[in-house]
Amino acid sequence: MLERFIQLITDFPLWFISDLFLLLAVAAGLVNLSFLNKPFYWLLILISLTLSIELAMTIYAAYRQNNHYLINLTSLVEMVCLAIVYAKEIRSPRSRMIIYGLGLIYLIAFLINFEWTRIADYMIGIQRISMIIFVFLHFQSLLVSMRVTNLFSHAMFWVSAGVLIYATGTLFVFLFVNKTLRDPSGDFTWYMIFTQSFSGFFYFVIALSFWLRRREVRMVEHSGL
Amino acid sequence: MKLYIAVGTAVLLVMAIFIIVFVAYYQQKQIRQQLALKELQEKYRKELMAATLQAQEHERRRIAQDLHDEIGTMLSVTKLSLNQLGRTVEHNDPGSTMLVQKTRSLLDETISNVRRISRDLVPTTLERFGLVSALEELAEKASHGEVHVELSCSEKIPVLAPHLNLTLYRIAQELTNNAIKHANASNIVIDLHCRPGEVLLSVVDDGHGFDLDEILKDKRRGLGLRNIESRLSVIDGHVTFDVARGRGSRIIIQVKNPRPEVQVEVETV
Repeated sequence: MLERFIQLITDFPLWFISDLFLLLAVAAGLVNLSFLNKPFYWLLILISLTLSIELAMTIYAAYRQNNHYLINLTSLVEMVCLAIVYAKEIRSPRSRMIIYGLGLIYLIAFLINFEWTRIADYMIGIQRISMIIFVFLHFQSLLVSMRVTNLFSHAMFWVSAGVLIYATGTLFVFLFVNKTLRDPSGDFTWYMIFTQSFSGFFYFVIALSFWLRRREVRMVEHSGL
Repeated sequence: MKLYIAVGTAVLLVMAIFIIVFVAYYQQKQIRQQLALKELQEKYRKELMAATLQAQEHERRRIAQDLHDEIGTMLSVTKLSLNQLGRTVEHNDPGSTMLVQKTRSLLDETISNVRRISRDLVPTTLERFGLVSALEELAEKASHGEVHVELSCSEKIPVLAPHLNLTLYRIAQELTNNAIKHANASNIVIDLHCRPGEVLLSVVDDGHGFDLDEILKDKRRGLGLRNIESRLSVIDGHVTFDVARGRGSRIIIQVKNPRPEVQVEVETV
């Protein structure tokens, strides 16, 4: 059994590097648990669930079983958790309505488009576009409210930057999924490694944001004394 | 297809990075503008407060001058006329003589009251002899009956700017009056000290104290304390209230960087 996992790691080392970043992010979240507010709790839930799904995917892959439905499930987890993160972070009721609306559209697409044996058609594309809109709404709220004095040490800004890079980096792969990941004659592994690289970057930014959140809370405590 | 995806993704990534950089740059620019606006507002508020205080002093000076030059002169002339009247009625009518004497004593009291009010309105000692002399005079005037006011100051007091002298004097005057009128203090110590780069003025009394929060919450009370804070905001000063109900108070005024002109020797009281 162990040989199967070793074989997987040697065949897809980049895949496991992204998982390593995911593990790092979960560890960072747990270490800084006492400093997290509600949006960051949901971010921790998101990466914890993603880690569980990634583990299940690895087991499936080791036993050479189809694990594509787990990619679809990851998309659902990401969408639900990020919608909650941004709904809790952004105060504007109009922006919240847009977030809930996009969440609803995605859920409908998920119910229609979900497949057990293949990566869903346009559902993940909708999810990536929704994520980009969430980030734009967050950036807009940052510019309108002007509550943050130093944006570079604001953890949620870096989360949004990470989400934007991750969503734009993987948008085309999932938007044209029929020509990329679902094309039998295509280069599935190349596209998966391409998306995993962005996932790895996203998890790294989340890990970093947990430490930034700790610093932010400490600074507020220090200035309050 | 791989090429198209890679190029498309690269274009999207460039746009995403541009948006992130733009948001960060624009937000920081807005914050800087907001801070500059706040500073400008603060500067304007200070200038307005300084102008108000200056206008207040001008008005005091004008009233003092009017009292001295017009009311005081009129009262002196009235006293002269009364004296003449007194001399004419002195031998004929003993009842009228008594009335003239009574009026004369009332007039004398009024003249001395007008002089006192006029002197209180404009601290001439402060202008002529400086802060320490003015505070000495304040302590002397405030001491009466059971009330004892003492001035203590360090040997070397730098000559401060006139507006700073006036602010410190007015604050000491306000705090001494408060201690006598509201705290029923019998011993008050006005302490003036200079440290490198700062002037410290404290007024300590043995009165029954007060609840600072309660007084500041009530808009109809604590006008004097608010006035002290307003005066200090103009000269970048700071006030610390070590006060509580049922015990003596200690109020410390701290003015940083008072920019001394020259050092003068002053006798310790």
